[in-house]
Amino acid sequence: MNFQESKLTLTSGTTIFFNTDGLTEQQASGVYYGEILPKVFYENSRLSPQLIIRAVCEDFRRFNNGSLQGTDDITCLVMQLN
Amino acid sequence: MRKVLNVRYSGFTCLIAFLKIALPVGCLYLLSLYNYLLYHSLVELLASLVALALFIVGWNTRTFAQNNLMIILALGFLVVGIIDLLHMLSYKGMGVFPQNDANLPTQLWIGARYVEVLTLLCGAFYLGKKDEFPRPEFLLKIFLAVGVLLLIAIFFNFFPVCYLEGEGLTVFKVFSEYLISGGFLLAGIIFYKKREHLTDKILRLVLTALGLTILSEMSFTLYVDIYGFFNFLGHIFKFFFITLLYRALIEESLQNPYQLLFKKIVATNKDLEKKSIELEKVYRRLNEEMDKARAIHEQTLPDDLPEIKGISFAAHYHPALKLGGDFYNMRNL
Repeated sequence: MNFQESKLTLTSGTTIFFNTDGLTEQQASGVYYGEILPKVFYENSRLSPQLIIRAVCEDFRRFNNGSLQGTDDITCLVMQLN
Repeated sequence: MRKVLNVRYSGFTCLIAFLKIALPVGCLYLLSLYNYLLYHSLVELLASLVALALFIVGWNTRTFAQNNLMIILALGFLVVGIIDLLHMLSYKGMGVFPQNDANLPTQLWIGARYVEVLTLLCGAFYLGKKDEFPRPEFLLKIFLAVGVLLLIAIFFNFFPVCYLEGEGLTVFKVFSEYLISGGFLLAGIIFYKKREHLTDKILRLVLTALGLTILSEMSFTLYVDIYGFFNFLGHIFKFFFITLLYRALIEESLQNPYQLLFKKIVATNKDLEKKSIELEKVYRRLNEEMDKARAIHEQTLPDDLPEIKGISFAAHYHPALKLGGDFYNMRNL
């Protein structure tokens, strides 16, 4: 895999959400979770990383008919600058 | 063998066995005295009917037949039955065919016996050779062609003379009977050698039937008058041969296939059960392997994300199946 290196200066209060494709490509009734995720993230981005993760997980569970398990592995990580 | 010897026959069962043979023989003898033509016609008609039944049953159950013996017998005896019927109709005194002598029925008789012995030799040869067996439809054509050619030879006088009025049986006829008997003997030997392909009951029936046929053929070398004693005796042997053939037919084509089918179903069920247990074992072992692999995978995932001043982290991981392929970690560079 070729990734390009670049530098970015982050300001205090920046929150970054990392995830694998298992999360965004999970489908339910023809909708990808990737279409819903940004909204959930923005709504909760002021919370602590643990709470953001919990909020996303709960939202995903509702989206995915009550299960946290997807068709692919799901990993997500939140990094927040204080 | 010992089991057979240990059976103690009571007087009553002996009497029953004796009556089973003596009663029909007695009745048929009385019938032959009353009207020999009627006796002959009944025995031959019965033979033709059994041959026809053998064909109908054998042909229509050919797809379930466990060995091809019954198919060959069915086809062969169809031809034999037809020729035997003509033999019966052409018998001296019947007045069906214009040639009202003993030659035509004797020729038909010999012709039918040749087909019969070829059928049995063919059956013995193909017994247990399921892979090399020709298609039944093809065999039917062969047998019918043989029958038609034989009838043409007989009715158009190409067939050797078998009976001379005033002299009796010709050398050809007597020689043929010996040849045919030799053929039956050979078939019997082959059947015995290949007995693992037959049930004991069928083997016994077939060998007894062959023995009776040979006795019947031997009787037919001896008569001078076609209404004489040895002709009567030959037809008596034939009568018992027919009853045995009928029993073999019922056993092999009607009762056994279903028993065999049932046995096969039970065996398949047991096999499936065994396979299912094996599958479960394999599944369990695979599961254990998966658990181990998962443990290894989980070990590679960080328990605690690094504490970096000014930055906080949180992570979530959920594998799709038991064993995942996602990895993540945080490093302070």
